[in-house]
Amino acid sequence: METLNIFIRSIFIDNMVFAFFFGMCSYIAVSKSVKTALGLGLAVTFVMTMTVPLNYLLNEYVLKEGALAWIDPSLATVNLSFLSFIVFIAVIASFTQLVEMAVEKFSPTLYNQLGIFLPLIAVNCAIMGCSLFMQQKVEAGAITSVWQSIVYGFGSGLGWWLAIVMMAAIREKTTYSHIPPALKGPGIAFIITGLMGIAFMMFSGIKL
Amino acid sequence: MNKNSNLYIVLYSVVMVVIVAVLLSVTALSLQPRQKSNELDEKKTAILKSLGKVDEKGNAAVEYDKYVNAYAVDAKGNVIDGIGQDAVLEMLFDLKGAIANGTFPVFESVDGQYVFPVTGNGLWDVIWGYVALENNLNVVAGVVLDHKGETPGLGAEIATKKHQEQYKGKEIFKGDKFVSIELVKGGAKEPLYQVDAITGGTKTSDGVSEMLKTGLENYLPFINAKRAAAVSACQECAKECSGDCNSCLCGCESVTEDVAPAEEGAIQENTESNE
Amino acid sequence: MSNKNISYLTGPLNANNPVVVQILGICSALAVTVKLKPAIVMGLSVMVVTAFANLVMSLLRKSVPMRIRIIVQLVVIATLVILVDQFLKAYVYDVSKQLSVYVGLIITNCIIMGRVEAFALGNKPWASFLDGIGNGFGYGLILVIVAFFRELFGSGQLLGYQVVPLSWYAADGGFYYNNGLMLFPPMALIIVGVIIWIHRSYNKNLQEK
Repeated sequence: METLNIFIRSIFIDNMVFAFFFGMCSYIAVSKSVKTALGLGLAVTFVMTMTVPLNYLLNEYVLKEGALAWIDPSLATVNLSFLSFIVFIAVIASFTQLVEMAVEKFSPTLYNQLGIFLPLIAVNCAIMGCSLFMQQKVEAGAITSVWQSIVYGFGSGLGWWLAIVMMAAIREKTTYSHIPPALKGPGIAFIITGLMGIAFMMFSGIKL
Repeated sequence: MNKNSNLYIVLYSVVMVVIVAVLLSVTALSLQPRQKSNELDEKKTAILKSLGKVDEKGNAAVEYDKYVNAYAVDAKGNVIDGIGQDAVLEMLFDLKGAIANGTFPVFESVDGQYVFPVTGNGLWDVIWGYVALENNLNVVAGVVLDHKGETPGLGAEIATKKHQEQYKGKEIFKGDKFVSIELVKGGAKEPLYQVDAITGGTKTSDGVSEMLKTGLENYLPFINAKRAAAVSACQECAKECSGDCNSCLCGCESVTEDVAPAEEGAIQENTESNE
Repeated sequence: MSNKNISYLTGPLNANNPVVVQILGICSALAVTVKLKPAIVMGLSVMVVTAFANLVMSLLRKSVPMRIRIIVQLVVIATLVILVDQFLKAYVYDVSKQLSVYVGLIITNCIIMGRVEAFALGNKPWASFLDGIGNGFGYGLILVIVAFFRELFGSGQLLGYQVVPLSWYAADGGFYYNNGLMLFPPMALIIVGVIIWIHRSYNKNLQEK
């Protein structure tokens, strides 16, 4: 039940885009067509589902205060949490590299379309943010197992995917709308995202 | 040397990692004591604030180390021996864990008031607070509440002075029955045991009610024992004085006498804030 | 200071603003714009990190092997961010608590990576440093503008001081209500959208066809 709660919350309530603005750069830039949006969303979801549990294990067994106690009890006072940023980003960067190579090999068309944004997944705040939030949630006792961290990563990725695909669909439509010239492009994209965010606020307070 | 040779790359990475590691460890180690004391100070200030000893600007009127005695009690309300002052403060960083272990931190002021830390869940994330009770363990001397991520302007209002002032003087016992303090929408009906909930922050308010109830319940054995001791001490003296508790003048404490210093405290407290 | 150097500083403020023109680095930081104070600290932190990341990478630009360039950049940026985070925790504890995970997210702020890639790897240290300051400032400027409106209309305060007279409030018999919606995340996006709108109305060359 707790796990289901984490899943639903991470998709709808704590939506990476609408509640925290995570991954806005690629969100605005790649949401021009539904097809590319689907591809990037898939890549992000995959990277998140894999990196959050990896970082969870690292946090649990290396970084946290007293986490090294499993090697030797005398290490119980060591606190390496100041290294978490650098460790998390290293895990994420190497993982993205893997995904990039895989996409290049199996789907060159997708690779061409995503262009510069694949390497940018490494600096997609949504992925780093998800790991940092996971660390916070572990501290607060909301995530207590690897299983839950997988669910959290997967749910957050799905939430991001959902957001970017919805956005791309709306933007495809707005091509035919009369928008003031100064508002075209990113301007209207921001405002639409804001309105979608307000719509998503209705999910707040849902408890399972 | 060829910049793209593997040897160069490996050497480059090794040198970089060593430099970064040294730099970070030195900084982290040299700043750690300061960060730790920041964290401890924050807890100490919150405790003093609940006792009404911190003014508008955040200056404490008394020194924490001299004013507060910290210890931990077990689920039956007995004091656990051998836990140092700082170790009790440390418990506050993982209060849920401490409670799960059956250890409950208590902070007793030299004036005989008690501060009980409580924690629970708001709408979004954890909320926590400190409940200070007068020495009769019934009347609330002050409450400090804080939160991690409640909605600003709505649920987050629990952290404001305006909301927290309401708790002062409330009672947690109705006769002998523990009732806690409840946050009620649309105005408190039982002013002694209820306060106004946050408008638009219903879920957070419910969270606070729940937190106060379960949080204080953890301490009930301790509180009841202290109250029973106070009552029996009063009965003892009432026998000697041949009168009831309230008219007992031989120096023993009774409920009515307790209220006097409380009110004095309340007047002082009115002049301060809690940001 | 030569004209060119000055243009590194002032360009990002308007015509080449990283946020409203290049749409970089909006990522996380808007969430700290509910109040002015954290927004200012966040802007300053990003400025420090961008400037020094640019400086360090510019110094290393001749020696760094191209194959591990990205990793080196990430390590440099992450190190700087950890330093900033440690200093914030030690010296401005209350603000560092408000910023919470968002300090860590400076690492993934695209402005920093973007400037290092686009500028520092091909320019001299001093120019790179100025470019970093300029871009960090251009970013901070947008944060501060957004935070100004959100705090003013959302809580009636600026930097924690009451600006809207208390006697105006409906609770005290007045006519005024704080706009609670301003405190919610979506309003930050809408404000940025409006800023872009205004900005592009004056800079017609930026408008999309």
